[in-house]
Amino acid sequence: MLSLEAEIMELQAAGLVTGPVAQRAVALERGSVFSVYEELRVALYLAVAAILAGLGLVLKDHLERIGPATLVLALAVVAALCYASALRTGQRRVERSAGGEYLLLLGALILSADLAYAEAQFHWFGAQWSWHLLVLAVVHGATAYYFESPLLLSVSVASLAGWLGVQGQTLSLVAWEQLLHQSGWRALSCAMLLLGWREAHRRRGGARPFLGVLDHAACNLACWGALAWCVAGSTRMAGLAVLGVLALCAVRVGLRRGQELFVTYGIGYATFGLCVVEAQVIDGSLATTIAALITVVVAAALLWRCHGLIRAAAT
Amino acid sequence: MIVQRPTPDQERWLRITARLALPRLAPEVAARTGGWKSVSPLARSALFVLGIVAAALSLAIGELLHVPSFLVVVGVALLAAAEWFSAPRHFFSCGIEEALGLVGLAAVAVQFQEWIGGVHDLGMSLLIAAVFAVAGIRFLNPLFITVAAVLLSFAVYFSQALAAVPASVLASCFCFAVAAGALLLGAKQFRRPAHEQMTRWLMVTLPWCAYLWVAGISWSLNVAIGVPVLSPASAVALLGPMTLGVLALLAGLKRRAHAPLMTFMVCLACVVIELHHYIRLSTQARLIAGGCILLAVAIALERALRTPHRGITARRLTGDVGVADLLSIAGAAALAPAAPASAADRIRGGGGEFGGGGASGRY
Repeated sequence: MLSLEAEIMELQAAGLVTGPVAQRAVALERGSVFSVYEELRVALYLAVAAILAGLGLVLKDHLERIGPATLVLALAVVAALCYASALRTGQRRVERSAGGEYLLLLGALILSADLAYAEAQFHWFGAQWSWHLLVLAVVHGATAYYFESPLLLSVSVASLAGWLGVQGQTLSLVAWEQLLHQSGWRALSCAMLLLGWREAHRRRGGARPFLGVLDHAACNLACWGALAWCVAGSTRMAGLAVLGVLALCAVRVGLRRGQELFVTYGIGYATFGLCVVEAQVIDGSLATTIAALITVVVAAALLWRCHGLIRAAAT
Repeated sequence: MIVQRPTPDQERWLRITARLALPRLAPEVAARTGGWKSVSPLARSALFVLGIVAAALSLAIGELLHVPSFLVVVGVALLAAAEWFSAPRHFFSCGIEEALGLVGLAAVAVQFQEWIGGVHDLGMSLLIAAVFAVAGIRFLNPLFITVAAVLLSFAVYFSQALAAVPASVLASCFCFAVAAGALLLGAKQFRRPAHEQMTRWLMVTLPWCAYLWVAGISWSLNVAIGVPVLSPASAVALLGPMTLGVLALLAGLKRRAHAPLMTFMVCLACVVIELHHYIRLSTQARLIAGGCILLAVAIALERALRTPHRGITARRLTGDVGVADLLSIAGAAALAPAAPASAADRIRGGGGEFGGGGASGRY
C-alpha cells in the first residue's frame, strides 16, 4: 500500500492545492471513498462481448434447427428489450448508469448482428448488400443522439467505415498495391466524412464527448489511409505528403487542446510512414537503417518536446 | 558506481505532482522532486517503443558495420546512453532510458552467453530473467520485474526440480506463489511508489501465467479420458485461481485497492474457463449464460453501490474523459460487425457462409 497523505497535507499547508482538492485527495488516499466504477465497466464489457460471441455461434450453428425467420425475430425482440430499458431510464429523467449504457450497447450490437444475418439470409439489398451497414450507421447514429451515448456513436462510426469498405482492408498494410491504393482513398474519404459530421455537430452545439469520438476516429482513419498510400509504391510520395500534413494537424490540435494522444498519433504515424518510405527509396541496408535511426531519434526528441509544452501549458 | 535515481521522498513527490497536475517547475515542487523529470503513462509508453526501435536499429547498424563483438560494443553504448538520460538529465520513468538500458543489458548478456559457448534452455531463461530483473531494479520498472518473474517460471519449468511433480504444475505453482506473495506484500506500507507498483503488476499478471502453464495439460488430460478427472494439473488450474481469487477479493475490499480486485477478476476468468471441463454445456450456451450472469451481477452491484456503502461506490469520481473512456469507446467499435474483406470474397455460390452470397441453407 502507498499513502501520499503526508505530502498532500504539506501541499495544502504550502498553499499549492486548495482545501477541497486536498480533502478529496486525502479521502482517496485513506480509502474513505473508493470507486469500483472501472472494475464494473470492465465486467460489463466482458459480459457484452461474451453474449455477442455466443449469439454469433448460435447464428452460425443453429440455423436449420431454429429457422432464419424465428432467429431474426427472436434477436429483434432481445434488442428491443435492451432499448426499452434505456427508454424507460430516459422517461424517468435519471442519469443512465454504466450498466444501462452497456445494456444499450448490447441492444445495438444485437440489432447489428440481426440485420447482418437477415441481409445475408434474405438478400434484402441484393447486389448492394453493403447498404445494410449504412442503415445500421444511420440507426446507431440516430439512437446515439437520442440517448446521448458515445458508445453507440462509436458503433455507428464503425458501421459507416464498414459501409465504405474500410474495415479489414486499410487496417492491413500487407496487401496488393491496387488494393492499398483503394483502401487509402476509402479511409481518407471516411475520415473526411467524419470531420464534416464533427463540424456539423460542433456548430449545432452537440454533446462534447461526441466530438472526441469523431476526432479520434477521423484522425486514425486518415492516418491509416495515408499509411496505406505510403506502403504502395506508386502513391508513396503522395502518401508521405498527406501523412505529413495530417501529422502536423494532429500535433497542432494536440498542443492546442493539451491532448497528448493526438501528438502521439501525429508523431507515431509520421515516423512509421517515413521509415516505410525510407526503406523503399534508399539503397543499401546500412543507409536505410541509419536513416530510420535518425527518424526515430528525431521523433523521440519531438515527442519529448511536445510533452513538455503540453505540461507547461496545463500548469 | 553510484546508481543515480530519485530518493523515495523525491519519487513520492513526483507521483503526487503528476496526480494533482501541479506545476513541476514551481520552486516548492522543484525543490522536493530534486529536479527529476517524469512523463505521463502515454508518453512513457510511446517513448519506450521509440527507445526499443532506436536500440534495435543501433544493434543492426553495429552488425552491418561488422564491428567486432558488436553486441558488447553497441550494448555498452546503449547502457551509457541510458545512464546519461538518468544521471545528468534526471529522467525517471520516462520510457526512453528504460528501453535503452534494457536492450543494452540484453545485448551484453547475449554476447556473454555466446562467449561461454552457448547455454541451454534453463541457463538462457535464467540469463534473460536476470537481465530483466537487473533492468527492473535499476530503473524501478514494474513491467521488467513482472517479465523477470514470468521468465523465472520458465526456468522452474526447465529445471524439473521435483521428479514426482510435472514441470508445468511446478511452474504454475511458482507463479501462484509469486502472485500470492505480491498480494501479501501489498498490505505493507511502501515508501517508494515504484515498489508498490511492482507488487500490483505481479499480483495481476502472474495468475494468468500460472493458469496458462496448466491449462493446456488439464484440457488434454480431460479430453483423453473423456470425463473430468482431478489430475494435479487440473487441480492446480481450478483450485489455484479459486483460492487466490477469494483472497484477492477480501484483500481488495479490506485495503480499498484496485489491484487485488483486478486479480480477483483475472482469477474468476481462469475459474470460468476451467469450469467448462466440468459443466456439460455447448460453447454458445456457456458464453451466453456466463455473459448474462456477469451482466446481471454487474448491474446489480452497480445499483447496490449507487449509494456508497462504507465508502465504496459504483459512481465515477472524476468527470474527466480519460484513456479508460477512449478504450471503452474503441472496444465498443471493435465489437461492431465488420464488412467482409471484399465483394469478390463475399459472393460465393452455394457457399452459404455468413455474409456470403449463396443460399445453400447451410450456415
